[in-house]
Amino acid sequence: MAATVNLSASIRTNLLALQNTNILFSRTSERLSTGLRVNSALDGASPFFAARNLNNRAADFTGLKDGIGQAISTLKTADKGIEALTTLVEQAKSLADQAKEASTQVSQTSGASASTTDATGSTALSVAFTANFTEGTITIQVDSGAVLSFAIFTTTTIDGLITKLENIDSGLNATYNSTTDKLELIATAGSTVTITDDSSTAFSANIIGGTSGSATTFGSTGSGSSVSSLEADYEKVLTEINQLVLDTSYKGINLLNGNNLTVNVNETNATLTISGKTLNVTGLGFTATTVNFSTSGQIDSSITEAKAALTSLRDAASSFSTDLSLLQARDSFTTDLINTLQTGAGLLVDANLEEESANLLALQTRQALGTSSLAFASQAQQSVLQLFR
Amino acid sequence: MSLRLKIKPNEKIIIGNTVIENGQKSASFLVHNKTTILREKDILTEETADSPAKRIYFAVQLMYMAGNLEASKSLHSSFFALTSDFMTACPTPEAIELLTEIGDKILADDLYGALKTSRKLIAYEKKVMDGFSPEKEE
Repeated sequence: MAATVNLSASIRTNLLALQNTNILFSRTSERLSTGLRVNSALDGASPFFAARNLNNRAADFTGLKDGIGQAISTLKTADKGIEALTTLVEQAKSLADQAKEASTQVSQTSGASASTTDATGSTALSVAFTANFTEGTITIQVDSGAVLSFAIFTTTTIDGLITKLENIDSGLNATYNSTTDKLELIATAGSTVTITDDSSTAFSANIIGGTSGSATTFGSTGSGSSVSSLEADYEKVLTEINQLVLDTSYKGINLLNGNNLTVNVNETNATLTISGKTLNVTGLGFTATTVNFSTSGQIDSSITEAKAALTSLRDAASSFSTDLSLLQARDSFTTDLINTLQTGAGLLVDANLEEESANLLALQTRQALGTSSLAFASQAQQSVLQLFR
Repeated sequence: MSLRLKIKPNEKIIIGNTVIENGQKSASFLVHNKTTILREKDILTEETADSPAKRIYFAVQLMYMAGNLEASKSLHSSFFALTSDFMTACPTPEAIELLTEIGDKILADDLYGALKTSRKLIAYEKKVMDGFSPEKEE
């Protein structure tokens, strides 16, 4: 005999409520475990498909965002490259500046040493350079300037000669070096000094330096050796610039070597093209990776080239940084949109008119009470909108 | 691509960054380049943007006035905050579809389109608040 349990109506109602609660409870825990309010097509057809649709779109945007992210990395790589290039070009410019500095002080010291080691400026040349001294007339021409002559006598002092030499040309300086006991001629690099004398003992060659009757070009010889080492360093830096440009690529795209970067910026396949620049030695406007610092004119043109290169680098950096900020704005908007889609997918429910209406009203009240929620119009926009009050 | 505009007597209109007010007679003219064009009836101000959907419209309107997604960068966080509030209060498929469509259009550089969709959101909000089931309406 089967035992039957008779339930009163009130107990039956309670049991039913309990069963319903159980169903609700299991649905809630399922939603909790998946993070979604609507879990299967059976739960509510419209929200389910709408949620799936939202998640699919979020996935599409994630693909888009990946592309933008790559472009941002490429731009950041290029930006770092430009920073390094700027340092190199600044280095090159400073080497050229140093060369310029050194070259203006190139001195010619191939003359003989004074026989008297304690000679000073007031010592007569005939006393100081006893063995090599001869009276006579010296003719000097600097570059293609005027040919000037002056006489040297037994009584002419070292200072007297220096004054005469310096009167020839403002670029020509002379000094008596009491350490080497030599008379030094100092001239701008690249200038040509031709010294001739009428004495058979070649006074000019022996005391002033150079070969009588032939031109001496300053800068490429003598103590210009510091200039040539600067020249070699400058060339090394230029070679390094070319190498650096070749090394600055991100996933095969080298914005500094003329590659363009095309990014899909939205779902409609609109693209943003970031134009690459060629920032190697030639692209930056240097004539070649080899330079010649023989004359100050040549050094000057290297300095001019380096200055122009710095301007090109600054322009490139500013153009890339504009592109970068555009992409970053888009990247963050896309991220927020993906979040919105995913949140939306999680929130979706069947429309419950009373609830949503009440919620919106509550939100409206909350927003009206909030003070700063709408204070995001810019100053310019506010002044425009004021005209519509 | 030119746009022909007809404006009523004394109507105000924003073209680019300029507010133009018509005189006594109605006028018609062409705008030759692509720029922000907002008619007086489509403009919300801080005071008139007094509901959740109207606030979203207002944010999109400011983005449209700024010109593009990049120029309106400072408005993005407010836009998403308002969107998220609306979505939480009214998570119906229709509302979420409209909200994400606004976002899509902003991303697709169609700010005018986003503004039009925002207007649909205002209409939808009105339906919900007035107590008509959006499902029955369709």
